Amino acid sequence: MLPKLFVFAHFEEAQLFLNTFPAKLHFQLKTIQCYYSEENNVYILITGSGFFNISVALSVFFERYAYLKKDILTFNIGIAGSFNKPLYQVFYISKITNYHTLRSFYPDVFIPFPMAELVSIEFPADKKIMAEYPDALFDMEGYAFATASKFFLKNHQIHCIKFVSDNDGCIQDMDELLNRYELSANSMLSMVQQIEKEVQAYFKKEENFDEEVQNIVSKWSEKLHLTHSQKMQLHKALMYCKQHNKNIDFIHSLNFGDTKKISKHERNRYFQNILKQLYYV
Amino acid sequence: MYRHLVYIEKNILNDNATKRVLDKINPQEIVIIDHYKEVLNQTNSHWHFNKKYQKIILAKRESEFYYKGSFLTSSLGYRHFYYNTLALNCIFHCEYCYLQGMYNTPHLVLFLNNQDFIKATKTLIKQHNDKIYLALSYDTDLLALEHYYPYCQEWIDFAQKEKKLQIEIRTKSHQVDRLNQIKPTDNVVLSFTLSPESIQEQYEPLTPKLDQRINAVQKAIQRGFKVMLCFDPMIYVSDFKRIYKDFFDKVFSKIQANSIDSVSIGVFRMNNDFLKRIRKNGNRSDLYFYTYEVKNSIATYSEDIKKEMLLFVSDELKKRNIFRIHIYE
Repeated sequence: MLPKLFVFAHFEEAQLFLNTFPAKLHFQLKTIQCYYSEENNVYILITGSGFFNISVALSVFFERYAYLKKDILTFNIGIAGSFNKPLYQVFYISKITNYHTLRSFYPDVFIPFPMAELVSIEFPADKKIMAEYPDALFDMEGYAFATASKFFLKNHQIHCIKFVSDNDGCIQDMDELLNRYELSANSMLSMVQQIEKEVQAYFKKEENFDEEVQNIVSKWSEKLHLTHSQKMQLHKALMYCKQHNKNIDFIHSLNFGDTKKISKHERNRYFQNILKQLYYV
Repeated sequence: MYRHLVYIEKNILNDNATKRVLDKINPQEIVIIDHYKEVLNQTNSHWHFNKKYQKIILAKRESEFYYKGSFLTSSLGYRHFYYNTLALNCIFHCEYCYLQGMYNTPHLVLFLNNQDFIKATKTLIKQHNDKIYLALSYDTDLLALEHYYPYCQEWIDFAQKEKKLQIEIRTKSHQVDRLNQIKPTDNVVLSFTLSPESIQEQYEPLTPKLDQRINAVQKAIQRGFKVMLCFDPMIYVSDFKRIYKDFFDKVFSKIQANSIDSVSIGVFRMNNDFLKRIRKNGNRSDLYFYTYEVKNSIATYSEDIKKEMLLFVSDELKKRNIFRIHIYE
């Protein structure tokens, strides 16, 4: 199970997920709240609205949990207005545009759900503004979420799922909205699951591979006191063999005697010996 | 190919060519973009993960309708050697291909203003007194894209009228039937890249099998097309000589040596910056973990290996009565 980070601007948007993944408050910093469900390996981050708040919250999160950067999938989930899109529908976001700079981020989309463009604006969009991009959704965080996440993660780890809350910038019935939002939970969670499945399937194979090579590099690096450049060369040579399906078991039985006090010259000689065997086994 | 979504530049959204291509792809979602580079050059992408979900970008090229030929490709004896980029990236995924290091993402860009390329080429032809050589399919595989847009047909049509132009369409596709409606002409050469089966299976996933490609070559010859065979890049594998000898035996038992125009050969080579970038992008092919010699920023096999490979292959070809050999050294 990959770690997942759900990012919400408001507590009301997060409530549904806090119920689905029983999470405890992990840390709180001023208005930023982070919950964690150990059982599901899910983090829920409530940031406050606007570009600034979400950027700060994500920076705080990834500074604290830098070790999660490699695997974590992040999702910005929440409500958004739209001039044309039907109320209470869920969309997987395929393009996120900053209303003010017109710069866009294109998430790596790879699951077949209904998609839409998201326009992020620094103040609540009214009907007139929404009419400028009638088929888009409007929110106040998406673009900052994407750009701040991009600072820490690869694009395929960054996703945005939005629920249409209004068509004119005014929420008519908050209770009805929250009720319908809750009813969309399955649809949103299904998107999350499919994204996770695709990413996990692709990267799982690579990880096992890396681990074995990394272990061998560490072992020989320690034994022969390899330089950084030699470690890279060894890694490269091992990868070459693995990809060629060559048997590299011999490397475990190589014995250069007591290598604790070897000279630089001896080390280089032993190292070249290993490389030669790896490339020509 | 992930056909669920297509990116389209807003300035060509309502063009007829766009509509025709969209009818063929039939995407569920269209994302409108300002410029193809916004998507193609997006940073921070995992190239190989995205290759699994490669998308199509429909675009219009505004300038640079041709380029001077790269010194990494054989100029085939022509003084004026050019190539153009009617499409960027490829539907195939050959592990030795430099395209993996050229763009940030693998998404396939189709330029739909083909007639602007043709117009620019007309002007280029006028600027030269002697014949110009134009490679159409270097940053892509054009024949494999023919079902989306009839690039090859339109260029062969154009070449019929422009005898000062020599066109090369290089391909690994077997879709020669797409050219059934077009009359072959002497100044168009279809170049088929062929590799031994074991190399194809290991390094050229998604491409047609050797038998399918040989079949395509036979069809092209029968239809009267001028055909070149490209054994390029050759990969140095253990038992190289046996593998390539058996391969030539197979190829030339089915294709008569005198029915082809020429042969082009070369060993694996790549701009070293691309090679580093491909490695960094996570390509785990053994090709990117080999110890190459780097000279003038080009990574390739050592001089000894290169000579051995080229000499062996040239000899094998000569034994089979093929003497018109373009060698990239």
